[in-house]
Amino acid sequence: MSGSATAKVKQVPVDKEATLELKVQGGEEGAPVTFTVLKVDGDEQVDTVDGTIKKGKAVAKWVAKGPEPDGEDRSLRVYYTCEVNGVKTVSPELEVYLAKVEVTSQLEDGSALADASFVLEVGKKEIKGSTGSSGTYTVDNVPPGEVEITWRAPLRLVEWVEDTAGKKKAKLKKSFKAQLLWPPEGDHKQWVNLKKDPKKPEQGNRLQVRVGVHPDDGPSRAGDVVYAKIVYPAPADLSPREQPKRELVKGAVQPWSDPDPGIAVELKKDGAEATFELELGLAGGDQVTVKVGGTDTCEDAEVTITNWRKVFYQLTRNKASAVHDLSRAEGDLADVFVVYEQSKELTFERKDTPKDLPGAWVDAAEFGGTAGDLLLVIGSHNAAWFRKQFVDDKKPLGNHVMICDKQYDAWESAKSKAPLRQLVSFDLKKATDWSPALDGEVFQKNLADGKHPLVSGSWTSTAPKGKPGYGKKGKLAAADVAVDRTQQTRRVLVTLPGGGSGPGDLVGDGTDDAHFPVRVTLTLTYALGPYLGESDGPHQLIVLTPGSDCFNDTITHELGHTLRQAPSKTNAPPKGLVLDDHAHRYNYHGHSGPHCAHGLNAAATHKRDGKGGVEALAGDATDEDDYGDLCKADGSSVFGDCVMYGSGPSSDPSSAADGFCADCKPYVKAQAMTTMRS
Amino acid sequence: MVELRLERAQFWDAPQRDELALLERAADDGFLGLRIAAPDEVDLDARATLPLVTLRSASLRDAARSAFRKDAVGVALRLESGEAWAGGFAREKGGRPPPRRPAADLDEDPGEGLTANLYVHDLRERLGLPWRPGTLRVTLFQGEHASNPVTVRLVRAGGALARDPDVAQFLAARRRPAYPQPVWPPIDHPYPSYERDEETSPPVPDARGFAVTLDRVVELEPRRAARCMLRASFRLPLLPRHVVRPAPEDDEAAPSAPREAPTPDETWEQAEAREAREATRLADARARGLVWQDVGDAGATAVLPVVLVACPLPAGRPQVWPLQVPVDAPLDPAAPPAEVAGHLHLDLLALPEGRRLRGGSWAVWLLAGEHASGPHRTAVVPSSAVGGGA
Repeated sequence: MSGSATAKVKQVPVDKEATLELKVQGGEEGAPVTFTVLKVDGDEQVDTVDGTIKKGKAVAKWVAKGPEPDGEDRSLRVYYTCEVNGVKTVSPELEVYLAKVEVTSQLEDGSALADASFVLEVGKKEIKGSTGSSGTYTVDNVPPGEVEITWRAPLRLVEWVEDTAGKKKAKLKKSFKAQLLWPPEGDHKQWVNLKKDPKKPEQGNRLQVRVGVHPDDGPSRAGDVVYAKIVYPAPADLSPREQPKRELVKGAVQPWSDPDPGIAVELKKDGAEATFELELGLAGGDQVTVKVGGTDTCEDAEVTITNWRKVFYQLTRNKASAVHDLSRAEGDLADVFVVYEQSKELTFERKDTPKDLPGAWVDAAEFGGTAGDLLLVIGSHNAAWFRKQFVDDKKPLGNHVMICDKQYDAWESAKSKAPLRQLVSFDLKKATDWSPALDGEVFQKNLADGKHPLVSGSWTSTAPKGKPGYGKKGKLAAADVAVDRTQQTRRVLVTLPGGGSGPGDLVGDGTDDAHFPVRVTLTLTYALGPYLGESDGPHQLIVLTPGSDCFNDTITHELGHTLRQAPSKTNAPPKGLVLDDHAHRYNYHGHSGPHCAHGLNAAATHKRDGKGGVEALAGDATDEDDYGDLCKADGSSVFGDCVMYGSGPSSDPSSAADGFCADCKPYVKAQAMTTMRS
Repeated sequence: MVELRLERAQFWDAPQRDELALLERAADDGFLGLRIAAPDEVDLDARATLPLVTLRSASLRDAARSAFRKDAVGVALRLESGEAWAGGFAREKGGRPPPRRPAADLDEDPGEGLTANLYVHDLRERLGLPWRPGTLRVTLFQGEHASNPVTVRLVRAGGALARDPDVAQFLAARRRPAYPQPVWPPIDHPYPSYERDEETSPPVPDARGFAVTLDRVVELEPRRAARCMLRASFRLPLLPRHVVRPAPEDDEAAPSAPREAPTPDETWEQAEAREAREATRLADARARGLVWQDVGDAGATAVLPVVLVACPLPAGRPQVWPLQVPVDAPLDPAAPPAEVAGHLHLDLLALPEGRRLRGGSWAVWLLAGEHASGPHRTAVVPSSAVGGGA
């Protein structure tokens, strides 16, 4: 092939008329001439066209023929020639291209998908279109070049059914598959009482849900709409706590989500995520299921979010003490959706405590143990030092669990700073006998100051006038008063001094008219207790009882108090719960603080009569009863079955509580737990 | 006679300084009962507590049956208003006692003898006293014993303004008189009743105080409505705030509804506690007479506060009922008399809101301001204990 090719390649759409023109030499004006159109590659003839010679040029009008729509190429390079007077003239190249592209959209089942929007791109040119009601649209004036078709959101390409130079048929999905980015699909625990933290999205009662497009459907596109709805369980399975109100923030019941709240989030740019917020409320155990989708059926992914609460504790203990496993407490707390996490442990030995710390390291012999061994006793008289060991770096959710071997209070309260004392005045009828019982226990060394419990003592003969001993009186010393806790913990053994004319020689019951009762007056120090634990603000004192179950129950019980249980006028429940709906709450009845008596009436059949015996209960315990007096027929103690009952066994696991009862659970679950009781 | 004498500052600095001597004096005197002491005056700005020192001395037998910490109750009456507060002395620490031991440590009969303790409590904390000026009359009750009453003035010593009598007069003149409380228990048929009964009302005493009759022994017979009747006639001081007046035109606005969500600085618990406090503001305003209320008795010309204390015997937690007793004596609201007479008839087995005596023995007192009457004894005997042959 020869010919001049100095000009830019002319482009001609198929079926459009093009002027073929070649300069020729010779030939008469108006003489016919035949043009032959050939492919550049291979010189294959494409067409012939009749023309004429006009003013020295062979000219013809040609309706361009070129690539077929069913073919692969959109363009065909051609040239044309003509021969005049034996001289062949050849044209420059001409590009014939398909200017029309037929675009068809189908659903996955092959049926037509109407009104599918797309963007057709050739180089930098963009042509927008829609397949219309028939599902097919022919785009005209498409310049030559590679055609790229992008379907508009939310449509996603499944496959090209036909992809030729002039026909593009696509199978499409009407939507993309949505994917939960946060929280991930499945089950999710949200710590609703913990402070919100952008780095820890699992914390806080407001949860931001992030949704994207599943990787199978490519990146998200501007215009994609993510649908979400939230489904709550039945109202009976949700806490009646009213504040904050559970909701899909900025959501509403939509026609497509009815009766559930829903929200549709349109993405503003390619690659974006859809986000929306949930107010989960603060009640533990409340659940909500979030369902998302690329369509309003929201069937692509779901997550069930459960509200949990986490509080922390520092464990402070004697280094020599081995604390029981806490699985039981953990289980009881898990029932009310609380995790009690140890944040720190502080151990100490005797040498770490102040030398003058009253009544802390007590000879085990006082408690029936081996003399010389030391037990840790904590109570009102020394708790202040142990409380100071609390490093509250988890404020306001930190608790301080202090473990001791025994709990006794040698002062009325931490504020009183004065040893508990009691005066007893009684008659002895023999030289050695026990005193009446005190309000609390007596120790060989008073817990408050380590001294002998006798503060002062005296004796007076009750002999009538004229009888031996009449008018005699004297003092009693520490040597005359003994403590033997193996026999009596609340009494002292008095031995009246003898020596011929001492009270020990004068004493008798009077029947012989020579020996008469001696009135003894003692002022003694004592301690209240023993207790199994106590809760005061974030400080919880727990006695390391032999029984693991009972120890665990005390842990749960004292934490319960810090968590404002049992409900009472001072532990007012949150809005939505009614105090009087709790059928078994009580104050007093021999216990300190608000408690729960669930199960007590079922267990108690008798009560102690105060004279060493028991009497049958007529019906339930009354408002005036001391629950500590309730018992079984054999006098053995009874307890409520709720861990918030005011007393508990120290070692008998069969009497241990069953966790929080059905009355208490709603109140515990409803607590915000965003701050511990101060 | 055992007297608790402490200097004012000693109540805070060393309330138990003389404990040993007091206990021994009680034993020497054979004193049985309750004695209390409190500072005669408390500066509300300088002090945060109201210490109460209590000497309790009891026979060994009584002490074994009834513990002070469990069974005692303190009652404070504000003389200027008749408001009343009551509270116990249990150790409110949430301490968890182990079960009671079998009676190994306890005497079947502790025998003759006596035991005494000295206690120090913060009465403000125990009774939930509002920390505002006023004169309190405090009495303790346990079993059949009542302590000596003590009077405590809560004052604001303050600066020059507070001490200026003209300022005090100026403020008093502008202070709106408070209103009486609704009658409680409300009038019902046949009881409670507040009218004089020719046959059963005791004569009104000549001097200020109460005249009381109380059924001594009552059988709880389920087939008929048993009654335990307390009847009293009284002559008591009348304060302007007790006088019934029509509702004012410019009624004091109730406190506004509490804000619901926490403020930015609050936790949820703080918000809930604040809401609870604010919700009680209206109740508190009513209790203080700051809000007019219909007294519920069209014939009442005045309503007087009277406190009923009932202590179970030998042991148990006392019950305290704040009564609001109407009188119908004609009086001029603009110039009321200094005292007024009235009557009450209460069936102690049928008081409303579940407050009623149950079976057992009881010691009952009536208190109003500086006037008290009691103990009056009654015994409610179950039918099962009655009958049988001689």
